[in-house]
Amino acid sequence: METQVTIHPGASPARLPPEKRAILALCVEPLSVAEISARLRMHLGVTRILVGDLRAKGLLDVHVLDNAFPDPETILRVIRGLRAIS
Amino acid sequence: MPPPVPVKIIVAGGFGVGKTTTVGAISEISPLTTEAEMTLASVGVDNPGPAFGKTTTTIAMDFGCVTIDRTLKLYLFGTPGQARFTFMWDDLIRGALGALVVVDVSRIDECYPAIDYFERADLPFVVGVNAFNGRLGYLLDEVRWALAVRDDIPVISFDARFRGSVRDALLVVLDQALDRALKMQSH
Repeated sequence: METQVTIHPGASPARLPPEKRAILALCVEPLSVAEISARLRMHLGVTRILVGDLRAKGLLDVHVLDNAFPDPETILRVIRGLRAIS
Repeated sequence: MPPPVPVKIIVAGGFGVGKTTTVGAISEISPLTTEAEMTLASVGVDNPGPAFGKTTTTIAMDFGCVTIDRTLKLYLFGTPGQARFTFMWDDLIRGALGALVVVDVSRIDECYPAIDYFERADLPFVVGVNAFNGRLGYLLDEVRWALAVRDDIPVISFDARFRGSVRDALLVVLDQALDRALKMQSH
């Protein structure tokens, strides 16, 4: 659900139905599938399908990560970042 | 410029214990809600053969986000509160750093399913007792005993309304996660 989605450079929303257009518009900045689903008030399953379609058409890039446990360096960065929050 | 790497911490616990409050206190966006449709297959006892009835139900999950920097985002996902949906958490916890199991002392038994689940899932987790001003030092041992939490799992108190307190609770989760990551690295 946290997988980041971005619009593919040069992708055009022309001739797309409204929901897909809306997804493209949101993904100008990297956004997670969960955020797309929440902002557009679409069920998660439906969102995944639409994102998959757009990816197949080359309009969206879906940045899938492996499910490995994060490495210590990444975790330390999160710790430092959180500590900075007051 | 590559997109940010997402990491996530699960905020779990029974219904109404303060998961959304916890997420909301620290998230830079107001908690968003995503809804997932779940199909529950039910078998009619009198039905012959594979005649399954199906009902779909919608489960809402609140979540929030903290941007660590341009290359790293921390998501906080609240699990659906109902115990019967613990099986869908497998999807949710894949790749997660760890979990904060939120406990409400007036409803302590609501968090049994979550604690059970995370112990079996082998995900680093922390039990966080949601208390006003985190003033529950003397009760923490009792909570630990009542929940039969393993000795190596931290049981802390925090106040879900306050950003600083939630931050501190999450830092305990991250500590556990770091321990795990370092152990994994040395093998």
